[in-house]
Amino acid sequence: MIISFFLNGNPVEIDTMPHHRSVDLLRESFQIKSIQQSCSDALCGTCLILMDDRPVLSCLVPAFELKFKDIWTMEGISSKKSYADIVGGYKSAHVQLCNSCAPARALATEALLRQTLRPSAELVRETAESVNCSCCSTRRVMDAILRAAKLREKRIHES
Amino acid sequence: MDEGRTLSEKMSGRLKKPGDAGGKRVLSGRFLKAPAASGRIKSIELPELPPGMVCITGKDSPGKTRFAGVPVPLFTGKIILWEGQPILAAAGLNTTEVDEWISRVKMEIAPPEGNAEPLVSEKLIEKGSTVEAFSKAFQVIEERIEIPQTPPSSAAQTVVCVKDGANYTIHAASSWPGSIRQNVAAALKTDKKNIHVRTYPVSPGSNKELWFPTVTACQAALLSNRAKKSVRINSTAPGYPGGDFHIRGAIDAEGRITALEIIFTLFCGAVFPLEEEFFERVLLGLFSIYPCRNYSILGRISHEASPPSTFGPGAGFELGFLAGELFASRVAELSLSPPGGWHRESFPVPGQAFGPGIVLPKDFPMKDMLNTALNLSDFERKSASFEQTRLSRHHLDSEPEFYRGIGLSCGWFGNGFLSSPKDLGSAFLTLTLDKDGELTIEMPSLNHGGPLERAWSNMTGEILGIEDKSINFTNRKIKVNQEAGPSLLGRNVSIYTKLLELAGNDLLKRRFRDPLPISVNRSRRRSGNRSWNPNLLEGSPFENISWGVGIVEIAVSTVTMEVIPTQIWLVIDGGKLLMPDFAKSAVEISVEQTLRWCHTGNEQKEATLVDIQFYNNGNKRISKDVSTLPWLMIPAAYLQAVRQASGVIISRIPVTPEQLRTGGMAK
Repeated sequence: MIISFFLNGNPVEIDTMPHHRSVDLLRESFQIKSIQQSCSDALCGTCLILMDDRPVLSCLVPAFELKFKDIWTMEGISSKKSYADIVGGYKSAHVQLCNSCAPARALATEALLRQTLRPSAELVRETAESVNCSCCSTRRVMDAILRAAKLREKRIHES
Repeated sequence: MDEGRTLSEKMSGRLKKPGDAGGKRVLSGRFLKAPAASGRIKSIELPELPPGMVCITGKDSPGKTRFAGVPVPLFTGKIILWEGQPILAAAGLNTTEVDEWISRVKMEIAPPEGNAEPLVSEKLIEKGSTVEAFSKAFQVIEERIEIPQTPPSSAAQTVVCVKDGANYTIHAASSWPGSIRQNVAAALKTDKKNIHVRTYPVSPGSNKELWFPTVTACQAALLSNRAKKSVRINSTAPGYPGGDFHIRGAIDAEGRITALEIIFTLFCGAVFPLEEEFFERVLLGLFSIYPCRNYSILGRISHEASPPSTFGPGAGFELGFLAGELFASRVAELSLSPPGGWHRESFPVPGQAFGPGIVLPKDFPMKDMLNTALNLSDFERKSASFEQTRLSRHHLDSEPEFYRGIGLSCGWFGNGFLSSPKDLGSAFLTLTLDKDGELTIEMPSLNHGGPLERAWSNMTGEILGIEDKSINFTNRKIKVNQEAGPSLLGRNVSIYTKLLELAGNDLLKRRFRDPLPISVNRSRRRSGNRSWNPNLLEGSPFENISWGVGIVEIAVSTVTMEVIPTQIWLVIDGGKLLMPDFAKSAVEISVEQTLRWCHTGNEQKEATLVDIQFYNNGNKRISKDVSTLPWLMIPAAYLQAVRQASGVIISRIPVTPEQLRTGGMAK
């Protein structure tokens, strides 16, 4: 079946099989390497993508569900100026991220910042725990998210 | 080195991972794994291989990988050793096609012959006269703790073997590239100069990537050799060993430990590379800090039919300290002295050895550190108050929502390896200053832009007066990869920092004397530690030791019986801290990981407050590992606190609400 959708702001079209998962489609056909397929079981959260601004685990989404959707991955988000806020937040909080979960954490943060710039503690904790990786401390990640939110707010205010 | 740039690349997904190597034409490898934990393979019938697909079995690779002398089989031979042991591997361009081919393999497996008892090796270590000490004992105290073996990780780790003519480049996250190079060359029966290793960052706070990436690399290289193409293959990291400890101690009238009788069994899976190192570290951990000159220890290693294990975060110390410190806390409790005071009085005094006979350093800091921790946490008052509440809770009219408890534990961590094999202890680095003023540091660093690499960059830059951006790290050179031992157990922090400092100062002296480019090599070859007697457990087993005191306060819900760690105080002596903020962050990660090891139950709604104090950060002192200490201190303190709060003698981790319920935690 041929599906078309927006990937990182660009219209794309691809022929896919009904049993294909989004994570495989994006990685193999579009070379989206920021998403991982570590557990393939919705446990780790490293295959996170933004679908119509909502964070979803692409290992759980059949490829045909991407049809007409607006999909964002870190390849697209990192090309925007506002990406610097996320990097700045994590850098100033001294979070040591591993290669495997870093893009998913950035994407989860971006999803939250698109939703609100003054997130509640509960939302921040939920975002920090949406990626299940023991490489860094949850408290530090929460701190990083709040710092990123402040930087984003400042950027919006200044512009 | 630009920290922001590295982080930006990492978060955007642009930083290369092993799985990205080789491009689109790389074949995907898959394993057929043993469906049973034991048995004998009577026959294997392989379907015809489709064009472009290759397969290897135990017959094609009769060799074994070796890690400091311990063999690990690449594939099952006739006998299955554990469930999930690879029987064969196949590779092809289309993963579905490979999976389909594997599903058509027919196997006949016969039940195991003879008894299926696990293979057990044991060692008895004795010193002094335990019989006499027990006969004169004022008190005899016993302690028991059971720590289950952790299962293999669920996350896949990718290894890619890129073939280019006669050359093979292995892409893997590994803390021991030297062993990959050596074992892949042996598996392919080729010269080591044809094997190149490109390492990627390993998971922080664990020693998982010690030996299993080498096994996977050998399997990928064999497939690649047969297919004459590059091969990508996934495997899963092994779990950590478990143990069962029974400690019996003779205590004199002053509450001092005069003799110990310990029987323990380690459960390590079917094979366990470097088990000797692990065993000795468990032994040392059992004594903790308290001197004991009479002991009888019977240690067993059980090789049951379960997946192989790898080093845990403390490479055995985490098991030994949990049992040893739990026993110490029991002695403190039953000697009816304040726990803090008991620990203080039981520490070795200058001139005395600690543990079984380890030389006490001149600057032994534990008394000061203990006092700091006790003061910060208000330990003695809280401990007495919680104890009082526990003893008098049957007088309460209504049950409170929570019962509280507090526990104290001390620990030390030996940086580097204890065992003597040369390939474990050796370390190499080369500094090259070229004509453009660029400095290249060749070392098996696995930080890849991580905080330690930045600290090294700052340190070398300061010595030589070079800007950070002119300093590059590489680990691709042959000698560095070929010879160096694993980069774990604090070796990066302690040994490589020292080597780098020496090499930097050497280069500084030669800089204006010799023409550029100048190369300076520094190495450390350790072929056995002469100052350590492993039979008597006496001497100096490690070059340097990190010290720590940990206090854990918890609350146990009287309704759900969940354990909630409310606050943790850690006082750590890590010597000269290279990057204090990141040292703190590394300790925090270890604290979270340790707490996950200690308890199960519903996810905590609030983060535990962690107060980390670094002791005496003087500039003249050497750098030591800080991130392992929480694993050695928190579990014992946590269990003590749970026992105090619940009144139930918990003898197994992770602690579950069911244990408290069945243990009879009630008013």
